[in-house]
Amino acid sequence: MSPISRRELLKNAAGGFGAIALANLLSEDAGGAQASADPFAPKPTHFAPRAKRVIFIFLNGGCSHIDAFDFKPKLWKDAGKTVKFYEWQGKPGDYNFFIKRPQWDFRPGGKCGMMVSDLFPHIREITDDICMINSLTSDHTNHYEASLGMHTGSFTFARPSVGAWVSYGLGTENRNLPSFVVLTPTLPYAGAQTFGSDFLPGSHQGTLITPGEKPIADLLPRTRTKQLQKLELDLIAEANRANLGQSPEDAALEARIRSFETAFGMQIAAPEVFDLSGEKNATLESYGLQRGETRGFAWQCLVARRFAERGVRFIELINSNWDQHGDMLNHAPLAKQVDQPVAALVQDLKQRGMLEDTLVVFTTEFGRTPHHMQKDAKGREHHHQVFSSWFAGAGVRSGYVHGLSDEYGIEPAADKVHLHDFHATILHMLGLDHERLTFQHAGRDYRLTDVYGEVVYDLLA
Amino acid sequence: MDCLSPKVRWRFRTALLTIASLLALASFTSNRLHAGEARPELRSGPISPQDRKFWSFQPVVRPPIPAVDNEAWCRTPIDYFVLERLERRGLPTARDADRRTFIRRVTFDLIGLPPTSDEIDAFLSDSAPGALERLVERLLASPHFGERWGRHWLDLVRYADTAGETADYPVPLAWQYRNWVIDALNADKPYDVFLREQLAGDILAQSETGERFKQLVTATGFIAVSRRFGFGIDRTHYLTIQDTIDTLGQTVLGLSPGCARCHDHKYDPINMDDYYAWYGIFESTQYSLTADEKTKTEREFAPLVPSEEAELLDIERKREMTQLTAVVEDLTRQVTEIDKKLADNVPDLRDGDFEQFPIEGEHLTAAPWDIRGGTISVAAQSPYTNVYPTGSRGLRTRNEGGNNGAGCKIAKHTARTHQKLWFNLDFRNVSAKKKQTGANRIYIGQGPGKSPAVEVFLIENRFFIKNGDLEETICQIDMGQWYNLQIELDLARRVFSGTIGHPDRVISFKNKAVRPGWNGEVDVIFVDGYGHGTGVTAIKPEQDFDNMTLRTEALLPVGESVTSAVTAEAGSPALEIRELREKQAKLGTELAKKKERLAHLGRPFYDLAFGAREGQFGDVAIQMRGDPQAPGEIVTRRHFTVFGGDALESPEKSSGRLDLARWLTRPQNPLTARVIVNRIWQYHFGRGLVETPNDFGTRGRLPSHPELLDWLADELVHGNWSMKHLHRLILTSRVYQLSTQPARKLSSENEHQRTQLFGRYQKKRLEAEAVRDSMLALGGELDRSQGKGHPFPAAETWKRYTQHGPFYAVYETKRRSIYLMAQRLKAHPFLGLFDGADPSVSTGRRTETTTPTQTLWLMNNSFVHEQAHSFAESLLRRFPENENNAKARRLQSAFEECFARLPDTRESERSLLFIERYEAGLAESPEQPDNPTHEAWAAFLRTLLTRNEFLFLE
Repeated sequence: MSPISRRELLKNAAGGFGAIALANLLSEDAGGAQASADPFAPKPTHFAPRAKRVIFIFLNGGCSHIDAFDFKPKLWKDAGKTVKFYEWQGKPGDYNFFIKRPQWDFRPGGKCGMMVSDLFPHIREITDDICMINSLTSDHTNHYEASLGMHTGSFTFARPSVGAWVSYGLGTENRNLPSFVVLTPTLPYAGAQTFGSDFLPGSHQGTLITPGEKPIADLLPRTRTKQLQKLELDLIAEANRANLGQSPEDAALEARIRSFETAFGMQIAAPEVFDLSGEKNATLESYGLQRGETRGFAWQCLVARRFAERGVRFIELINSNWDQHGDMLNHAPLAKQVDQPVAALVQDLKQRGMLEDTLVVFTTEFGRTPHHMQKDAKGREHHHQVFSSWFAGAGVRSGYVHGLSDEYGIEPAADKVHLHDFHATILHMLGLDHERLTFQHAGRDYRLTDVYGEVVYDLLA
Repeated sequence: MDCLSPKVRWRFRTALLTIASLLALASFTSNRLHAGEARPELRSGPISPQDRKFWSFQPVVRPPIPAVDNEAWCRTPIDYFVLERLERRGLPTARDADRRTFIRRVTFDLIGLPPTSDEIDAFLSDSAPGALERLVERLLASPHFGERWGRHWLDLVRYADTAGETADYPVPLAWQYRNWVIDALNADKPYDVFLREQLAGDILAQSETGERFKQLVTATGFIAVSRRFGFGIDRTHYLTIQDTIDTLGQTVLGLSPGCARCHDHKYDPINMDDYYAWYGIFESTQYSLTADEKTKTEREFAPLVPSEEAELLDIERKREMTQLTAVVEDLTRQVTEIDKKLADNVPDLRDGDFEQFPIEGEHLTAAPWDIRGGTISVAAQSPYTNVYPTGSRGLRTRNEGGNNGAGCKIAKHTARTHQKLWFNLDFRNVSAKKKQTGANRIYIGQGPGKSPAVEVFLIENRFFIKNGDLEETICQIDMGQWYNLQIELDLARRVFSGTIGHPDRVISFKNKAVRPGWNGEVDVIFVDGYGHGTGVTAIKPEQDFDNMTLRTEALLPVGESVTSAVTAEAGSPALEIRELREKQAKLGTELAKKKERLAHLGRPFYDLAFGAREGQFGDVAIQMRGDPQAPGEIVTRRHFTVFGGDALESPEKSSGRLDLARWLTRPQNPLTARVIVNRIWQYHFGRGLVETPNDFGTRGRLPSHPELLDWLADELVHGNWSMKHLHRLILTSRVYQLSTQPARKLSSENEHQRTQLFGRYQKKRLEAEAVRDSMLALGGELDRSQGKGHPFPAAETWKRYTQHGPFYAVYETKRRSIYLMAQRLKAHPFLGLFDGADPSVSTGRRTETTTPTQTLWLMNNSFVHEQAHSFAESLLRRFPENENNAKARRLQSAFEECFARLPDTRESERSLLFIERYEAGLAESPEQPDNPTHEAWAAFLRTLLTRNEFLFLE
């Protein structure tokens, strides 16, 4: 159907606002050149996807790899000894650092026997579903740049976030909700840039959802009754249709007409996502959530599952702040917030048959130093040279540990995975070729992985 | 920024895409090329003759006006250029837009607001020749013209009121440059002068004085508002210079020289040596510096008076400062001596006369003061007598951690027993160690500690409160100065107000919210160590407290006295103490005054700008791969090779900015005029003759009408670079008057081509600013005055901003949106939602998105509802119910003010039906509204303010 004739149909459609059929009419044939008028229209992938959606868990501040997932027995043995460096994170000098032992014991988990520390006892229970990467590496040692890098592939300038790229690449399955949501009580380092769309169409940017009573702005109708709002929207829809012309730029007018439908839908669909009253007690208990609670990482995880069920493409969950320079023991209360709900989320998805097409990503902007310049330091510093992250679900090679760091966890020792490779692999699982998912901006084709990145096929089942 | 060597495969594909897109364009605009041809290969190394042949580097040549078949159609030369192309392709032009559509279009284009009914009437009834010209003149003369077009310029120069480094520090003086842009455009400052002043105003100012000097230096804000990076901006200043160079290149030349920082430009003939030739110019310039996490302070402001005058004023200021510092030292010594004398001469008595009774006897539970971790001391006696007669003792807490303080349990007070209660406390800071992390808390409520109504806090230099849950600083606190704090707690309204100060200076705060969750009871008051920071264990300053009380009646203000009678016997210790206290109080007042003056002397006697000055002159070395630690060859400061590579006139005596400004604005410069006329065209038509306004290089689009572009560029230069002249040329053309509606239906291919060739006017979406400003205007709430600075927190409090907690604020105003505070790292919630410009990069053309979250704003945001509400109020007032045809006249007025047209019969009927149904719906709603007519009309107006006809320009 040509855009003009579709528009004529829209223009002449009888009835007021809210005709679902109308929304379908607009969406179904919105392929090809007209897709730009409807940024949310589902789009074909480059090849068969393993996952349809992503739940991206980000520990903001830098979660220690050697205290959590990367077991280094020599750190116990050699604790207090020094290691020598002539250059540290780009600065030349004569450095003698003291090896610092982890404060949590490691134990094997699951049938695969993957080693996880006592920081994450629940996650240890689900290691048979986890594909661990212990050789992830990034390029920057500051929070700001490293967070920006982990989210956008760029360490300096803001670029579209991985979530925006996924939304752009795949479109959405549910028009009553945004395609990319970010659930977090506080902004991560580098702020909203981490979930921005930058030059991609703005509808792909992450919609910020702040745990609490009002997670999305302007969601509550202000009219005295729903019928009154419907009266208004009917009149707007009618007038908008009458006003619709036949010019190419009327595509934007058309998009606005439809966005009223989505927004109207969100007034109902979004609160419904946040309404946990239908969740079983057992489910709430497994996440560690009290009935009636509207905050906390358990709430974020359960709401993430509910967004996933409703076809949202990219759901990011952020937990802050893992930046323990002062005392590593402060990792413990944070891990306690995260550990149980994350394990519950993976299991819950599995029980519902959703883990097969959902990719769960568990990551941070960098790890923490296995050593310290002071002998008795309680904390650890930033460490981007090597750190750990994991995948679960959607065709990943589960129960598998990829890559090695050296004996102390200072540098990658085998199968290094750069974060561009990490991004390329995430896109790959969604059926998107990171070299073909491009957008022309300022006279150049841009992509998430800039000019780098290799898919790490070892991570796939 | 593509700064690292790409993979070969990637290069190859990008190159192929370039060829494909260039070929596609070439087939579409068949005769668009001057000299350059599609150039598939990536370039680097010496600039070749081939590079120089590209169309945009060719001199502007005024083309002859082309011949057309239908001369009668044409009104201005522009029309000939456009019609010629349409005729050649056999494409018909659209009809002319009607006068109502036209006045809405041109009014929004020039001032960003809708035309009023009176303005529409005046235009419609002006049947004399030249009506259109008169309309355009009126709008060009409006002060709102600069606000509308200034915003376009600010998009280009990525204007922001914050720095953009990791903590996004405020730049409180940036607004002066913003207003300079607005004023310059209103005054139709010639474009060449406009540019020269922004680049080198400080140098041009050397021969000027007074207001003219001030204006010229302010203009250099263009350079100073460059983005800052990192934790410490000094270490990353090379990136800030790149930001200046790239913004300047994109804005003025339509080229992106920033790409040549690490390698020769891959597409355009700008090499690394060109980049570092310009870099040397900016490296020889002293930028005003923003605060950052490392320094926490702004530095290097540009004085707004000539340097000799500034020097004299500085000498005078420093002399006074030296004198005053000595006086302050002496006074401080005298004050401390009295403290010592009191402490030495008068024995401390445990109970002393530290005022025992915090509240009138009847409300007392008879509990005495519960004092912890402090000393009753003579030295801690307050000098103020507005609550109690002069006593001889107060409470001194220690400079340490722990819960120092005193409190008193009193009878239960609630809103039932008392609508209001009045609290009084005198205090002063005595000493503080370097690392203070804690605060003392002053508490009124139920408890102790269980259910606070009011919690206010005191640290070594600051007094702050909790307004509900939000921390708010009320004022700075001087060490040693006695303060009186009074709080009036309104138990019924759950708010509190108060004053803090001394007899010479009282600061008040009003209607602050009580702590959320307060249970409505007051039965305790106290001072303790549970302030903010790391809690009770944190170190608090040494502080004196006295005269703490809670009363059921209003208190006397500080400075007045409850008793004038001397109640103590002559020669008694109490009297001696009082005399010493009074003397001390006088000295303290004097000291405070001197200190205030001294603080004032910390700032220069003349105004400052956030701008640029000449720095240390010198050429710089190429930074290999963009790394400032890897110097290569030194490059002489000069202009780009492709434009002749001219040397500086006197490199040893200047940075070269004035030379650079002159090169850029030479009439022979092929790009400067082309780029700006293209922008003006774009803002009027929604699309430029070159569709990539910031890229006139080989990766940009080719012009759809190269001859017209050159004709306009030549007109600009020969019309003394007057931009208003260009507006007149464009707005009075027939092309600008065309309708958006096709006269007759064309095939989609032909319609596309006609639109590309401007044979029909393209619908445009109103920008975020125009939407907000129009709603305010229609709601009658728009404040049309010019905005100034923003209410940023005082610079003394900036220490707290870090990458962990960057500065962030949204300041409400009813002024035009250009005066909203533009934050670099975090978009303004409304402007961000509706595609406002990103203040981090030069925005030549805004993206347009249509998202459901925007629509939720239109549907449910309180702003839209408030404006519709006051719009309805004004309609109902202007056309009251009892007047003839009130409803019809309201409808006509509403349609006209929103859409510049009248409703047709069907629309009127439909609108009235809506209002009727809405009123009926209101009657069925659970809560009956007070004024259903008003509500129904407000609802109706919402449907006007949020429909496409309002949000788009025809």
